[in-house]
Amino acid sequence: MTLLAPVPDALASQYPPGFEPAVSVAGDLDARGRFSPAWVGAGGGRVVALAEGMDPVDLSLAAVTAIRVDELFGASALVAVTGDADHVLALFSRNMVSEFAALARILDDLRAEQSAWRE
Amino acid sequence: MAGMNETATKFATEVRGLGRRNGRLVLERPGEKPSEVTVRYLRPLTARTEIVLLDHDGHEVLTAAGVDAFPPEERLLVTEALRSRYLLPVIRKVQRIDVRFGIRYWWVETDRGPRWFALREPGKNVSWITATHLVLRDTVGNRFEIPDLLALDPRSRRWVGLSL
Repeated sequence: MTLLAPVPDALASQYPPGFEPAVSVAGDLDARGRFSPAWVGAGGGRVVALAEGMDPVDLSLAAVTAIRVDELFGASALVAVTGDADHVLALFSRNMVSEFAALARILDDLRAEQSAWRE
Repeated sequence: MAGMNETATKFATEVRGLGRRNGRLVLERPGEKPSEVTVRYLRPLTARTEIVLLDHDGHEVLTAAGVDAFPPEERLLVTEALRSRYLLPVIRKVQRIDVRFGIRYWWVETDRGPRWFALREPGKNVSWITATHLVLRDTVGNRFEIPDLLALDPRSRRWVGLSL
């Protein structure tokens, strides 16, 4: 398991300049559930999600109130909640469950840390 | 469980309808606060027709015989929600299958792109829904569907026949 996965070449053009992730995971499904590279990284108080077929997601962790994993039929979704809105960071198959479970825990810790700083 | 007519009546008389707010599906009923719902098939493997709406606690709110039971303007929302929830790749072509130490490695073309997976113990991990409709579960739990074995090209059918 790697928790510092490089951005796949196919998504490099979407990578936000200057972003330096402390943790990142490469996924295997795009936003429409097709087998395709995806990537989620977090660091510097932000979480960035890239996948083909969707606009890049770039959220401030201070604005994220919860991180959850939704069990779908045939896949799972890593979701960040901001206020009343859900943001799907990535869809992933069962091949990637360990990586995304670890990432979800880390994102939740980072989110809580940002929240503590804010308070 | 409500029947189709009852569902249609319920929609017509009790439910103002479905909407999407901030990425969530919301059901609005007269006199009640809007509630978040999820959309599921009652029988996701054997008959993807009947649809159930579940509330936040997983309780059934409404059952419909199919997407046609929903008002036209909500049909698209239901269809999209189902498409997002059910990510069961359909095998369109079998490129090849290798067997090593009792594990079958499948290289396939699916409706979601090319993929390979490992299948162990077909007797346990292949569900024959009908004589030609099968669902395979790989070694990590991913499912792959062949809705109609006879619709595959002859080469793919031969690979499946040899493997299973």
